[in-house]
Amino acid sequence: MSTVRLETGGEPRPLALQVAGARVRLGKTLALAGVDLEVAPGEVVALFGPNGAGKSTLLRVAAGVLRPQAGGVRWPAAGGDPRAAIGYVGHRTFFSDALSARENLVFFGRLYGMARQAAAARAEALLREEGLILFADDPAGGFSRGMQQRLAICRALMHEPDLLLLDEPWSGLDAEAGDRLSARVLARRAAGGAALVSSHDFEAALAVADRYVLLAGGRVREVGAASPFRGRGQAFEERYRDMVRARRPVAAMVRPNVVTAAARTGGGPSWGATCLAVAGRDLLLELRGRENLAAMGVFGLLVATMFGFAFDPLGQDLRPVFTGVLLIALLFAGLLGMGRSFARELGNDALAGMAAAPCAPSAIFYGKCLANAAFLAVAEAVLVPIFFMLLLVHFPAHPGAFLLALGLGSIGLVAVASLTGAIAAHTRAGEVLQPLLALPLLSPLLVASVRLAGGAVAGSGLAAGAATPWAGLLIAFDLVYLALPAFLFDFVLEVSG
Amino acid sequence: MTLLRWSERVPGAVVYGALLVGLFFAFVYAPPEAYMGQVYRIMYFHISAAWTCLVAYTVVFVASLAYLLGKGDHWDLLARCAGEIGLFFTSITLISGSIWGRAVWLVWWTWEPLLTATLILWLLYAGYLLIRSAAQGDPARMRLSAVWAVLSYVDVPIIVLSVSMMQGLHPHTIEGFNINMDPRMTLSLFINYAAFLLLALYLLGRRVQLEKTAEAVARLKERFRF
Repeated sequence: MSTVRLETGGEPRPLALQVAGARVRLGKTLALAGVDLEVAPGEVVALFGPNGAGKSTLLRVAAGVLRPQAGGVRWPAAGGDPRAAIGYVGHRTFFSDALSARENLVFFGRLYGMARQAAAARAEALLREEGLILFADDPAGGFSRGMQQRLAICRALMHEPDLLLLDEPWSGLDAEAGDRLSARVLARRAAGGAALVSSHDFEAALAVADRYVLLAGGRVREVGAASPFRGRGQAFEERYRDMVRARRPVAAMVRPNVVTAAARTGGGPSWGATCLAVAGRDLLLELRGRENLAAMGVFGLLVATMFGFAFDPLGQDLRPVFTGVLLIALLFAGLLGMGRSFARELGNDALAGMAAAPCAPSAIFYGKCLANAAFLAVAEAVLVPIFFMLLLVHFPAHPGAFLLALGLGSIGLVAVASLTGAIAAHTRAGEVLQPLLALPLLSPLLVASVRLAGGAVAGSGLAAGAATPWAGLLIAFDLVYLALPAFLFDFVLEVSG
Repeated sequence: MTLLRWSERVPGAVVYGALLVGLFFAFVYAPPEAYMGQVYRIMYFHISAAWTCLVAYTVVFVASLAYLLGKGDHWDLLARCAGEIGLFFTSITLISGSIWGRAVWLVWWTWEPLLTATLILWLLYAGYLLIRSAAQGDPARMRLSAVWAVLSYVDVPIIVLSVSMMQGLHPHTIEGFNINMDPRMTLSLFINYAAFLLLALYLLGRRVQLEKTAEAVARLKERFRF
């Protein structure tokens, strides 16, 4: 464990943050070209640099949401899951626009292992301190830029982190809110907390910082004490311009010179609590917007209507093709609704916010699956009877095989649609790409479901011996695609960082 | 014009030589088939391409898994190149199978289980290349396509199982370790398969080299950014 020694000669204390040789390439740009940086407990480091210098990338690496391609990052002072000790404010708020300020804060509190009541009490206190209590129950999407930034700061402080990582936190704040933020940073510092703060507001950042670090071209160019420039923002700005113009050589390792705080152990929420929190939030979002269910229901109804027009159910027996049409309609409706489950999280980078929280990625995935399964079950409860009614097909007298096919098929569909939705959400034209990805993957599921359910609807019924292999195939498919994301979703979530 | 070095020319010459030998065995050495006559000879390319694409997809799977397990970016490069080559050989399989079907079954396409499975395989790996082109940024491209490669490969046995549970017309000359063919046909098939494997390996090597050159050029350009 890396340690630094107290200037006063006290016991060695573990570092709050240690970045060593971090190298990150984003596309064709080398965002970080081997950065070394250490932050001690009780220390505030200001991060300066021109646009594109790598400040935000360094903060994302420090928050653990972006893995450097070379080098590493450690949080020696943090026990357990280090993410539990970090409060991160990025460029985006991580909020769901449709949820209220309070609901968003409580959700993130739960992702950081807080009990619902404790999270609600903490959210109430922070909203009150930040002067947002009057708007606590308003949708976060309706907030102004400055209010959203204040809310994001509340989110980062929900779990009282030991290490604050703030990316241009004064941006968009009025003078009063800016002063309040400075006071919060100094208060955390006095309590032994550490902070790494990037900013273009030299005056504000130097007022709270112990040291400054100048980053340019993905490299550390200069390191210095902040105190000589405190209250002399203009003088620092001139020096800063000279430094950027001069393109100084890479500075030596950035080491802290102040240590006052003790390490605090941190932990995250249980797997089940995360899963339920994510599912509950998605259900709440659906209750507010009714986007997924409406899309799934209307699409299914359209297919039934168009099919009825095209094939005149009065004139011919549609039973041989009924199951195929019904299951394909449900499959497309499911993809349409569930594909949005992850896509809508990208608006404010909510997935990155979840990735920064100390919870299991698989729990986030299965939480999403749980909510998607509920949406699909509701859509099926409405659409299946409508299909039987509109296409004039009798519901099977012995519906066991039909319901088994529907149930097992739905489980596999939820797993595949959720995972392909997560993959497609990170691509251009993801809405178009998702069905292209999911349909070939789902082809065995469709074949088996249609075979298993088709016999029951057609009235012939599959003999137990013939039905068992199809049911077995469906169970195998479900097990494989429910198990695989436990390993694979971590990598998908990493992309959000 | 830059001439290829000997170390690059020799493998190419060996591969083209092997393909010529394969052609000799397919068209001269192997006897005509009793029922289909001469048209069956397309089998030597059709089956060889099908087996080769499965090898390529296995390479994609193993390399993607290695990349996800943090063994280095070069595994992603290998997976990407093998994916393109796998799709190329799957296309050959589908086209040659379709031509054969027209001659023997009198239709260009039939929903025969093995053909259907191969078409789904083609769609899955076309999805792999689609993700590569649509993902935003290198880390996303690498991780998402590696995740997709693992998902797709795991789906292959399930697809094969599901379609094999349906009835099919496809001739099954090879069942387990039993090959129900004239020994001269068997020898010709394996020689052609070896030639196709060599071709795939050669193309993979050239493709990887091309990508490395492109990356070196990008790195050189990067040097002049700062």
